[in-house]
This record gives sequence, structure tokens and C-alpha cells, in this order.
Amino acid sequence: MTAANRVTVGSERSCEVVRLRGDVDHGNAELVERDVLTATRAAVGVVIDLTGVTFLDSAGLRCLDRLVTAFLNRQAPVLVVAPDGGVVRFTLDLIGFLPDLVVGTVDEALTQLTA
Amino acid sequence: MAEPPPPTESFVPLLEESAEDLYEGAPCGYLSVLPDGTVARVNQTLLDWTGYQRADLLGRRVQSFYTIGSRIFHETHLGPLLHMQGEVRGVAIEFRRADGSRLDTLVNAVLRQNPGTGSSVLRMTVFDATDRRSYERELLDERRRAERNAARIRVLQDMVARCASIDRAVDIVAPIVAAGTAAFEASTTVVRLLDPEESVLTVAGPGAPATASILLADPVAEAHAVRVGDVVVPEPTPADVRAVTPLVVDDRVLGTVSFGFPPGRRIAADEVELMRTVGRQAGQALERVRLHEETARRAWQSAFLARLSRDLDEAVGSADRARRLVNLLVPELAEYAQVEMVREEQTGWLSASVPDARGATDSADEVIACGLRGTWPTREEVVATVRAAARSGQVATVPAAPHGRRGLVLPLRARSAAIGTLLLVGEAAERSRVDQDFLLDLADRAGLALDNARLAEQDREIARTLQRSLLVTERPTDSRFHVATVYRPAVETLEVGGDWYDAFTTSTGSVGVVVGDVVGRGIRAASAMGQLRSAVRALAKAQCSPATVLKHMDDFVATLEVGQMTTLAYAELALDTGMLRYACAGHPPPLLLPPDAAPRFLWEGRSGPLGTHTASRARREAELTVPRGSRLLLYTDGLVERRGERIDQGLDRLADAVEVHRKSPLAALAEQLSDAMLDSEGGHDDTCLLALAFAGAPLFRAAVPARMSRLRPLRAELHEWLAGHQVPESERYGIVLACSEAVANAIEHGYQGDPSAVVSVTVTIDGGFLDLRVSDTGRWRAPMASADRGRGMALMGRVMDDLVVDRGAGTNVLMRRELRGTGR
Amino acid sequence: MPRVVSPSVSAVIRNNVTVTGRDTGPALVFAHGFGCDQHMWRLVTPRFTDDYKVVLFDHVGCGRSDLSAYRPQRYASLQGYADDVLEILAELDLWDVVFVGHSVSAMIGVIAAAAEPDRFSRLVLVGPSPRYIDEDGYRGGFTRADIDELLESLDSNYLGWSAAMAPVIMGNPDRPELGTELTNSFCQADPAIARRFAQVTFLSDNRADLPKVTMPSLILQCSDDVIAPYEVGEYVHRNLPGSSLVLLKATGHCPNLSAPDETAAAIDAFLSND
Repeated sequence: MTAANRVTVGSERSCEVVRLRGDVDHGNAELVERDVLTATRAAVGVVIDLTGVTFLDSAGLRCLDRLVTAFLNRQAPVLVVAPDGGVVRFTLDLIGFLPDLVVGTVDEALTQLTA
Repeated sequence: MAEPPPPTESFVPLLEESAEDLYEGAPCGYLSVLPDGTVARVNQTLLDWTGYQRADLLGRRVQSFYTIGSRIFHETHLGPLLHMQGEVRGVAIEFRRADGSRLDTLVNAVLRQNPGTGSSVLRMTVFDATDRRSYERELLDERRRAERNAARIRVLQDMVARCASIDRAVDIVAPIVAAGTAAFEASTTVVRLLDPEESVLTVAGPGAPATASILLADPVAEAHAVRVGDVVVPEPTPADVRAVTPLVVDDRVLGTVSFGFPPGRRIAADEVELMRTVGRQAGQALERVRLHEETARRAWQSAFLARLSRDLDEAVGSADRARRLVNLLVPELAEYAQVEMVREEQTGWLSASVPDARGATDSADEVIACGLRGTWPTREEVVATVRAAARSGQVATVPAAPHGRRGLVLPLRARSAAIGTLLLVGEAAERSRVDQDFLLDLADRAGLALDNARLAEQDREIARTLQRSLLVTERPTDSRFHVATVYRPAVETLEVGGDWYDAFTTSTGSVGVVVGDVVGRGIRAASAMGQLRSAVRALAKAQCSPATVLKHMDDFVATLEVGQMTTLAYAELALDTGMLRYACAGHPPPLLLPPDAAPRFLWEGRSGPLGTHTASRARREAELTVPRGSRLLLYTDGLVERRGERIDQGLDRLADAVEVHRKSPLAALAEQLSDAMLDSEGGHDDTCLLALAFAGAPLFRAAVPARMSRLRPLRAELHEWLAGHQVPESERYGIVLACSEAVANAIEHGYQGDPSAVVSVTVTIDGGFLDLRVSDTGRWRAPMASADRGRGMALMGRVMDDLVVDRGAGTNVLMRRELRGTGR
Repeated sequence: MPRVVSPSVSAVIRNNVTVTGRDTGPALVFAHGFGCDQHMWRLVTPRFTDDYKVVLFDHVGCGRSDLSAYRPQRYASLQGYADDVLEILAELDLWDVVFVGHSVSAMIGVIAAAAEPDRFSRLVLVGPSPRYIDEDGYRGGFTRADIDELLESLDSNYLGWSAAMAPVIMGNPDRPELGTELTNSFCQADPAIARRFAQVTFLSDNRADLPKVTMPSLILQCSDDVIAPYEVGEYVHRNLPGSSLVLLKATGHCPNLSAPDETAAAIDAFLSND
């Protein structure tokens, strides 16, 4: 999977929506982090949509960690979308990762960010 | 001897005679005739005897007073003799008297030359020979009769003797012809034999003209002789002098003998009598020969039919029987034979022929048409005739057989139906012994034999199809066990037996295996087997325990009245625990082959066959835990029973054979055991063998190059393996995640990115536990970013129940998880 | 049609053939008729022995022929006798013979000459009759009943002959008491064969053979011949191509005996008439 396919960024309701696909693991987490950071612009908020992610390991978690930190540093509120029962949610729940930033759908995330 | 005394004078007066009186009144006739026969002088005595006046005779030829026979005799014999020797004596001459009656005489004649004139005169003395001649005639007749009788007796004796030594009817001809020549000097003698059914007289014997058959209605002497049963002598014509005698026995006419003669030949009454005798004698001989032939023919026919039935019985299957049939018929009964059988189920034809007409084609029509080296003059009509005969079940004559041979289509019938045809072409080697009745009898027997074979084939085919459909059903696929089966039908019979095997998964994560043996053979046994098999399957899937399965089967058998005395062994293996529960209903014990121990028979859980009262009250079962890698054999008694051997010896042989082949893969083991157990015997019973392998602990092994890019393929491979080992979807992701984390750790911290290094991954599932081991041989470096590192370990720890990191020469990460989904 | 002479049977011996006369002369073959043997020609042949090779023979069953050679089937028709003639000619290697046949032998000559014309130059038929029995449109001189009477007559003379023949047949002709009985010593015949010969002779119908003859022929017809009446001689003349008919003064059926000079002269005239 190419980087372009792996990461797409779009704007919705003044927010940047970053969509990740495929596996995010030790093999590509740093590339994903870089691609996301270079592709996003300043915005009201950032939604990191992990609905399309099929695997997420500890490197993936670290990647998310750093992206959230980076966007927060840019003054952009961030929310992570991971569907309930999905594999990403499983990993996140296993660690108890950023429970306040995780929502189930992009729509929900945009609503929260633009409220 | 003294001289008689001279006559004395004293006698003379008593004998007052003149020369004139001596001439005229002599006690014999005197005639003087000229050389051409003109009567010159005649005495009174002859006149008195003949009743003529002197004037009647004088000046006329003496021959004209003879009968014509004597006249010819005079001209041809008497005259020449007189010319040559001057006198004749004792010649018989018949005078015709004035009243037309005949006077038999003996004549002496002497020719006297008149020395003076040179003319000559013939003096004749005529003696009345009436009495002598009648006596002579009697003598002559007697002699002739005696001669003829002697000749006839010789001829008849010769003929009878020759007839007695023949043993074919046609050989009667030569003695009759010989008799015709010897007894009657017949110029032709023709023997005709009567065909009573056709009312035809046919010329018999070698070189008989084919055209000379006579119908009994024909207006000829032969037909007439048959009708009247006696000798017939038709009015002779210049071209045809003939007599016909019938060949008669007990007033039955068997034929005729025609004697032909040269023109003018007269046939005497005694010859007619002799012909009659010839006809009777020859008729009796013919009858005897025919009886002999008939006896021989019937003996031959019944022997042939017996041989036919026996030989056909030996052949199995209608095709084999058809082939054998035509081979039996050629050349004894025909030059070419062909069997055609209607095969309803295939709407086709079975065909067999001798000589083998099968060339490039297998089409029955083509085979018919190719008969006798492809030389049918009218192929389509021949095929049509055969087809018509097959439909109608009637005898048919082939329109035109090749090379002028005759062809006959006989219907093959069985059970009031026409099932095919038998085509016979050409003369039989045993021609004289074959008639249509016999052929019809033969065709009926053949038809029945072929039909029996066909029915048996149908039954067998149905039973086999049924059996096959029952035995070859879905085979459960599961990596935790394997099943291999062998079914060997008995060699000595083609009827299918009632043995069966079955293997299926039950809903409780177990596999059930069963081997059963229904009493009996054939289609009933096969269908009973089908029902029992389905019943066992249904009961097992309803999670009945083995003993319960048997109890219900008892009810089933009792209710449906099928499969009484069926024996079966049923075993159920829990695939996660190795718990084996089994029960045997009168069946040989299962054989367990543990991976590291000697084979042993499972003698527990035994009770009687299905449907037996005592057994059904005490169905038992047994259980034990078998280690992974164990194999279990279920089989029918055919495998271990051998004539003259106790059952325990058979079981010992089986155990030995299993020990020998224990290393073989499962399918090979099943075949090898069957071969080993049945080799010397060939199997007099069906044999059924089912081998179940309880797989060893499942093992996942991977050697992963130390590159992060290889994590993804590893995860996919492991994920698939877990799915294959029934690890539930919900648990698979976590296990894959833990594995992936551990491998990533090894790459990152053990090898520090050395791309040539390898991380080994081993996963096993056993007894409901999953063990995961990830090993590297690198030197462990303390993680630089302890937060990340901690998160990986945390993930592993959260997913798995146990986590052990062992560092030595390399690092081993050992993790275990109790599988929730597959447990009970 | 050439005939094969069986080497085992000599026709010359079988038929008691005698050859006299001039050895280099043309052959003159005399055949006797029914009732006698070759002796009946003895008064005729002296006339020809100076110029001709004279061949005489007895039919099988007559005279001194080989009686054992008699086969009823072979001699059931005149063809068998004609075959004998041809075999004699073949064995003697005779060609262009003059065949003189008396009575039934006239017809035997006709049959033989028709079969092998090269063997014959001329035929002399003495008292010939192609058919003895009357038929519609044909007069042969006899009825069937007449012939039966003849056979009976032959039978009547059978016993006497047998007695006469007995010593000859028995092979002891030296017994004087029997020898004296040998009165009718000429024209001997086996009675049974004679009877059959009579049947064959008088029941034959050889009219169809007459036109087959191709060589010149002479018919000698006796006056007042009860066996072969004049009409019969006429008939033969009409139907025999190239024939001439001479009516002899001689009466009866045996001019060769009763009028040998006249007979011989007629034959001589015929032979001289080239």
C-alpha cells in the first residue's frame, strides 16, 4: 500500500479529516506519522479516522500518540475515530489509550469538534 | 445181349399194312416242303392233328401255319441250321390249328438233295408234344421261378445286410440302387424320401439333382405310390418305362423307389411283388436308421443343452454369457452366431458374435451388418429383420445370408418377454442333429440364462450404487483428525454385503466413527445398511452417548424390522481433550494404536448385536483419554476371520500387522492392513476398515527474517492457521497482535535491524491452550524508549494469560492463552 | 468319337474274331444276325477272300464268343453291340471297312457307322429293319404280342438246347452218349443271352439313326421275308441317305444261306460300282 493510499486528508466543516487505511505497525508507523503531519493544514480541529485500519500495534499507538501531541501543539483539537468492536478499538482498549479522544464515528467527532 | 428173334411170317397177316398207310397213318406227322417252305406233301396224321384239309396246306409255306413266334424262330434258327448242317432234331415248333388253337410239336427235319435234279426237299417229322411241352413249360416256369427266387433272395439278403449296417438315413440309397440293378436290371433307380410336414418327395443320395422334388399332389407315379402305399406301374411310354414302390413301414410311407427301364421292358407280376418286398425291407431299415438317428440326435441335443446351461451358468454377467453362448454355437450349430440383447435401461443393445464381427464399430446394427466378414447383401433388411424378431419374439428368416448360406433369427425369450435375438447363419457342422424345435428350445434356455444374468446384474448394480452412495458421502474435514477407509467386496460373490462405515463430526466438537455389519447380502442388506447408517448418524449428532445410540438403535431395529443382529462399533472422540467414548454391539473390538505404545484392543463397552433382547437391556459404553497422535481402527469381522483360524488368532494377526505398518500415513496404513490381512484368502466376506487418526498437537512454525516489513505476511499466515484450528475470530486478533509485538521486539531489540537475522515463531494448540513462542539469537539491548517498549509488552501481557521472557543466548518470549471459544 | 480299348479285354478274343482272305486287301466285315453266328456267312465269304481281308466275329453271347463278357446293362441296347464292333475295328486298326450286317446287325452297323464314320467306307444291310413292331404310320410287320410269342418260342427250345449244350458247358464233350446228342451244333447260343438278345433286337427302334449315315450303302431285300418285309426295306432305303436297294429273288430272311451266290454277287456288284 502506498503512502497516498494509506493516508488521505480532507476538509469537512472546517476540520481536517485524516483517514488512515491498512496496517499501521512497526514497519510503517513513522512514515504514516510524517505523511499525516505534512498533509494537514491548520484547521478548527483534526479528526484521525482509523475506521479503515486493519491492524494497529504498539508502534501504531506510538504514532497516534505523537500525532495527537503534534496537533494539540498546533492548537488544533484532535479526536480519534475507532469503531466499537473493531480491531483498532480492541488495541486501544487493551491499553486504555486516550479514552477521552476516541469516538465511534467521524460524524460524531466533527460534531464534537465544531460544537 | 442176345439178338431178338426175327419176325416170323405168322405175324404178317396181323399187320396188313401198306407203305401208303404207313405214311398217312403214321403216329407222327410227315411234311415234305421245298427249301422256301412250300408244302409239297403232308400226311393225314398231321392233317388230323391240325384240322386242315390237305388242300389248305399244299402249295403254301409251312411257316404260315406256325405261330408267329415259331415263324420267326424258323426264319432265324431253323432255316440257317438246316442250310448249315442239313438236319435238325428236336426243335420245338408250334402250329396254329385251323381252329386257331395251338399245337405243340417237336420237329425233326432233314434236307434231301435230289441227285438227279439238284433240287432239294425238306422232310419233317412232327411229333405231338402237347403233354411234354406242358410239362416242359412247368419245368421251365419252375426253374425260372427257382432261379428268380434264388436271385431275389440273394438280392434281398444283400440289400437287407447292407441296410442293417448303415447309420445314416441317406446311406439307404446305395443298397436300394444296388438291389434295383441286380434284381430288375433297372437302368435307373431313384430313391426319394418323404418329408411328411412339407408333403414333398426329395431325391436322396449323393449327386441327387436338386430339382427333382415331387409334391404329393403332383400327377406322377411317385406321388401316387405314396398315396396308395403300394407299387405303381404307370402306363409305359416309349421314353418312360417305370415302376415305383413305396418305402413302407407299418402302413406308413417313408419314401419311394423309382425303377426306370429301357423302352419296351415289361414288368412282370412277380417283379412287382419283389419291388413291394424291396420297399418293405428298405422301409424297415430306413425306420430303424431314423429311430437310431433320432435317438442319437436327441441324446446329442440334450447333452448339448445341458452343456449349454452349465457353461452359461459358469459365466457371470449377461455380456459374458452372450459371448460364451456364441462361442458354444459356432461351429457346431452354425458358421456364424450373434446375440443381440435389448437393454432397456440404456435403450441400446448388447451384442456378441462369433466370428467376432466387431471391427471399427461397436454399434449393434453395424455388427449385424458386418456379420460373416461384412458381406451381407442386404444389410438394412437383415438389421430390420433382427430388430423385428427382437420385438415380436418370432422366428424369422434372414432375407439373404452371405454366400448363399441360410440365416435364421431366433427370439430370446424370458419371463414372457422378448429380450433379444439369436442370429444363426450357415450350415451347422452337426446339421443332421439340428432342427427348429431344438433351436427354439436352445434359444429359450439361452434367453433365460441371459435374462437371469441381466436381472442379477441389475440387482447388483442397484445394490452397489446404493452402497457406493452411502459409503461415499461428505467426509468431515478438520485438521484435528483424519479418516481413511477401505472397502473390499468379497471375491467369491458379486452380491454386495451390508458392511458399512461412517465418520462425521458431532456438534460438540467431537468426531464420531462407526463400522457396522448388517446380516445378509444383496439389495435388502444394502438398503437396511443405509437406514441403520442414517439412524446412527442422526443419533450421534443429537449428542447421544454411545450406549444411548445403541439403545435407540435397538428400538429402531425392533420398530422397522430391519437389521436385526446387526453388529456395530461406535466411537466418539472429543477433539480437544482426546476423550474417547465407545461401545461395541456384538462387533469385533476397536484397535487403539497410541503414538508411543503397542496397539491394544478396546475390550470394554461391549454388548450384543442390535435387536437382541438381552443386549438391549444392558447397553454399555467405555471411555478413555487417548493421547494425540493415536490411531483407532474399526473394522468388520471379514478382516480378521479366516477359515480354520480362531478369532483371537485373527486379532493377533491384525495387531501384528498394525505394529508393522505403524509408521505409514493413515491412508496407506488402511490399505496395507487390508492387503496384509486378506492376501492369502482373497476374502470370502466383505471387509470394511476405518482408521481414525487423532492428530498431534497443531503446530505453527515460522522463521521470520528480521525486518519489520515481514511482520505483515507473518500475521496473515498465523491468522489463517488459527482459523484453520478453530480458534475463534474474537481471539485470533489478540493472539496475532501479541505474536507480532514479540517478533517486532526481537527485531528491534535483539538484532537491532540486522536484516540477515531470523526470528523463529512457534505456536501450538493442545488441550484448549495456545502456546506461543518467539525466539531470537541476538544480544538483548535495553530499549531506548521505554514507553513504547512497555506498551508492546503490555499488549502481550493483556492478550495472553501468561508471559515469560527468558533471556539467555538469545531471547525466548513464551506466552500462553487458554482458548475460550473452543472449550466446553 | 474315338474309343478307348481297354487293354485288359481284347475285343478280338471276346468276339471270337476270325480274319481270313487277302491280308493287304480292303476289309470286309461280316456281322451275323439274331439266331446264329458267324457261320451263316460261310457260303458267302469264299467269293471275297481273294481280294478282301475278310473279318468275321460272333456277338457276345453267340457262337464261340466269351460268354463271361456278357453284361446285361451293356447289351441292354444295340449301342452295346455297336460299341463291340467299333472296339474290334479299333483293335485291328481297321479303317474304311465295308460292313456287311445281316438282320439286326444291319442296324448295329448303322449305329457304329454313325458314331465313327471314318471307320466305314460302305454299308451292306441284309434284311434290315429299324423297328419290328408296328406303330401309327409305320409298318414293322409285328405286334407286341407277336414278339412275346417269339420269346415263348425261344423258351420252348431252351430245354432242348440246354441239354445239347450241357456237355460243352460242363467241359466233357468226349462223352459219346452226350456227343451224339449234339445235333444242333451250329448257331449255339446261351439261352438266357439269346432271350435277351431277342428282346433287344425286336424291341429296338433305330429309325432315328438312319439319317446319320454318311457313306454309301446297299440294302439287300429278300422276297417274301416275314422278318423284314419289303415295306421295311423301302423305309430304310427312303431314310438312309445314299442307299441303294436291291431286291433279291431269294425268299426268307437268310439269303446268305438260302441264296449265297445271289447275295455275294449283289455285294460284289455294289463294291465294284465305284
